[in-house]
Amino acid sequence: MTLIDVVDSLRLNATGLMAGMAAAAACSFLGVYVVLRRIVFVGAALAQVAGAGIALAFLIGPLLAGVAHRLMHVSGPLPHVGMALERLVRDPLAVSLLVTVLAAALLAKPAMGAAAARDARIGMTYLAASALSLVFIVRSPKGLDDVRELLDGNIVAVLNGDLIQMVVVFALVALTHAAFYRQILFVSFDPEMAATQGFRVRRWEQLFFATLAVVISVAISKAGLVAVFAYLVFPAATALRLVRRMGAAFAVSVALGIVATIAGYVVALLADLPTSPPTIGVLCAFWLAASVYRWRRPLE
Amino acid sequence: MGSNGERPALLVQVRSASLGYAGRPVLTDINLDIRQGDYVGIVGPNGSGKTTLLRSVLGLLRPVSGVVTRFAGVSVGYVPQRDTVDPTYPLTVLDIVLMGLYCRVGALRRISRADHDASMEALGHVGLADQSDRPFRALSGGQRQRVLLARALAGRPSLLLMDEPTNGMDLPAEHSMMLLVDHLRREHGLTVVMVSHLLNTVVNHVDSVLMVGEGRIRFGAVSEMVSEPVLAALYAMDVQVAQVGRRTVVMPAGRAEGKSDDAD
Repeated sequence: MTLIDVVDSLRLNATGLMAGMAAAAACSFLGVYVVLRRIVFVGAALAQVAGAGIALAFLIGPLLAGVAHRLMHVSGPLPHVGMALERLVRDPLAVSLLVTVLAAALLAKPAMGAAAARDARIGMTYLAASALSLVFIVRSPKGLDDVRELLDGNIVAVLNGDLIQMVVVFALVALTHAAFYRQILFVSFDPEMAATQGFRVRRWEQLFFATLAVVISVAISKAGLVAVFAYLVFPAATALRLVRRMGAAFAVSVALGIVATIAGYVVALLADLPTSPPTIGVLCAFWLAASVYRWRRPLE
Repeated sequence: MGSNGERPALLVQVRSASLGYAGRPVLTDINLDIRQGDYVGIVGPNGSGKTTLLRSVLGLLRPVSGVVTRFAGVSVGYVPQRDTVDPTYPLTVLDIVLMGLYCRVGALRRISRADHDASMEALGHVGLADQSDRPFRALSGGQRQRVLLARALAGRPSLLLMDEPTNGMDLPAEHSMMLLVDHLRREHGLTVVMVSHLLNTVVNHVDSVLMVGEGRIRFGAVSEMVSEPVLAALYAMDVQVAQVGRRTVVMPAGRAEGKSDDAD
């Protein structure tokens, strides 16, 4: 493949690439909290749950489509239900979003007793979601195609409408975090002190986890499970090696996520690979470079 | 604290309270008054319920039964153990002190010049004004504890609650921290309640001691509480109390094992 072919492909898939960049930016932004709060496996569990939600949508899609079709041809208010159901069937994101937000509410709940209890809850959620994904996919009419789409996403199939939907959702999440930055930061950094200051720690925790669930669900439906999990971890972990301010950590993390998406996409084109592995390779290279740099010039 | 003869303003009152977690009391039948100007050390064996008592006064734990009242107008500054605060966050010293004012600032509003100045003033009180721009993670353990103290002071509290403020510090840092607390208390008229397992540190600074053990509390002046029979009962071991210069020293009774008469 020549350079011109690469440029042509980038132009042809500009919408998909922008969707990938948007997913990378949103996940890399929240990844700063995920890494700092040491809840990387909450991110993994939520990504797996979102994946299971998509797999569930693949499985029940044809069934619900049949039901929706039948409802639309009866009298009374049922055609409206049928139309709503049909809309739901067309968008696996709705199912994914629903189950991920519910799982996030479960994981946000502080553990009763030892920290191990929360850890176990995260592990069990991850395993249950993985097992359910497999079952749903095995029973899904499309089978292995679904597995690939679930793991690697399908940014080529992203339409302008999907892109606008993603950008609007991510912008709302970003606005929420900008408006309540101090509250979310304080509750993450020192929840006990925040509580003594009158902050409703539980409520802010729920808000943070809800935004995390929304971002993961929306991102995973286009970028795929593996890439989303990578975006939650690598860019933030790399940025935190380089900077000494929260603002800089967010900015560098988002920038790394976006650059890795573009570079990963180009490598995928050149090597005829799915997009996730090269993207993760680039993220890994960034992390190694940052580690070497920090080793040579330690941060104060 | 708790004596009926004095009439300074009452800041916190605990009445017939059982305190604990998830409905299971750790301390029962607790009655306690914290009055303005009190300087109290909460001591007791590990797991006796010192932190449970502190968390209940802070309002972080609801009493299992009874009442814990914090009176109107009482602003509380809390200094947690520094180990509970994660130094990996890329925050400067000033960022952390400003957190002590977040409750005033509210959502969607910027930090004002006055908030910034109040934080710098609090840093000045703990001797770290020149470190405001340094990363929190770059500080020593003693300096981090001072930053947390400054954060509590930034809100200009009337009651300062401290959880193991000298935990893990070496002798100079511990001594310096306690002198700082003494000074701040005198200078700002603060009421100070501190939890510590370091009996020798506490008893040489506070005015009164609250002993927690076997699900109950006992409190009184240092001279009354720091006696061999009281401490022996609290720690279930023979204890010796000695005066070394102007300092009170509490130690296990008897000879330290491994020492011989001709060791020197």
